[in-house]
Amino acid sequence: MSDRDAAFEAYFAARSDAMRGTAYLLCGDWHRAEDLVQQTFTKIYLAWRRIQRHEAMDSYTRQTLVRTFLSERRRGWFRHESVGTPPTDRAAPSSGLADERVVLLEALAKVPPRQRAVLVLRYWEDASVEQTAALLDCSAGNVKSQAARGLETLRGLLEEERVR
Amino acid sequence: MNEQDFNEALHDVMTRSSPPPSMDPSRALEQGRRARKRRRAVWIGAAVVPLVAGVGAGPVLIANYASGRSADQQVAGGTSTTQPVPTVTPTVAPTTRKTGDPWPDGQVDRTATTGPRAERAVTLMNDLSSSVPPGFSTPNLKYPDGRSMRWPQGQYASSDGEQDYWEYMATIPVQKDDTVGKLLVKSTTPDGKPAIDPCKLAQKFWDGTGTCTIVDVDGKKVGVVTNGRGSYDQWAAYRHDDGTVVYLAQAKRSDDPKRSPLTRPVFTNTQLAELVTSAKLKIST
Repeated sequence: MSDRDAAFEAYFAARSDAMRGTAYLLCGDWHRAEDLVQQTFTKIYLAWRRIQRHEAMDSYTRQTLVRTFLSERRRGWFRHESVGTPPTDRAAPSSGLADERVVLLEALAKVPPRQRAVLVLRYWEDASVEQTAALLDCSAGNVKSQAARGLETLRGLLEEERVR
Repeated sequence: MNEQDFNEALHDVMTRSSPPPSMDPSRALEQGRRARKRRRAVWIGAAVVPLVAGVGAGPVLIANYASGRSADQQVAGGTSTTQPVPTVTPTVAPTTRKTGDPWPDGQVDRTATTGPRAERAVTLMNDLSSSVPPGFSTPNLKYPDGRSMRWPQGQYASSDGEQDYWEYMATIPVQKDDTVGKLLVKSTTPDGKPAIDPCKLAQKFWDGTGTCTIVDVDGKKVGVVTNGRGSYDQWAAYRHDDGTVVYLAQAKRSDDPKRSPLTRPVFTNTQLAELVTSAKLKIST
């Protein structure tokens, strides 16, 4: 195995779980999250030598992940490409906490994709407004308004769910 | 829910989630290697085509120079045996897709971002734009965040076990005065699957549901959904004889909630049906 391949494999082993978590919040489905991560890391592999010169490797990977997600959503459909062993869905424990979790994930999935990306980057990845703007290639003002709108949308959806 | 609540809720969700086992790094590496191999194959293919063209053209140029006749004259006289040179980068995608197969044409994912397939999607978008009736226009409007509302897409569509096929899609905003709606066209190349009832075909469009009727266009049966309850109000679907499937959908409301919706649909149901049967919106390869 070449040095490049070994370094890539080590990086994947170290970071793919974290990226998959972010992908899961973006798309609400572990299968799709793994597709997203695989597509992201394939792009990273192809650009490996160029990226390695960057200090902010994680930032580049995160940016690729989010843009891949937005690109897929923008097409209007999300194609499934199985990679590796299909993960097994697990039954959620029957508790109120599990219900709350499901409700939040379902509500998040209904937030428009770009607002959702802003919410996940800001409040899961703890990215600053400026970092989020750089990742999404937009202005800081746009991030602030998308975050505010996203939270507003989410509040409305959660309120609807409580009323039911 | 404020920012702090949401932050805590997200971390709570992830802490309590049961993620599947970690992904296999060696599989990820293999996918990367395949993508790189594919990209190299396409580069070599792209480099070989002009080389082959040069080799093929050489004897012809020499013969022309020697005899003073044009290539056309030589073909007419039966003395030229020059083979046509392929102009499209060769595809080495499998005929039946399997898990882990590389994407065709050196792509890193399903989308063709350059090359003839990307160009076909742009052509489809322009052909859709030129189809709108008088009184409507198709300007290059933008979303508030600066993204274009006009969007073409060429995509490798096969899933595991399916033969190779492609989907070409374009969505455009349509304007009348200060109101804006949207159109979407999708042309899918033959996928080897048998024909189904026109209304079943129409109701497969995205997640749209609605009442479907069959419209006859010169003997061609088109499924037309008239009260869509999804992202589109009406759409038509037609499967051409060669298996190419075309969808054309319209909505009075665009994806930008700040823009006022159209007060009437762009096309009548009959016009939708006629357009999906036309050669203009059909891409078979």
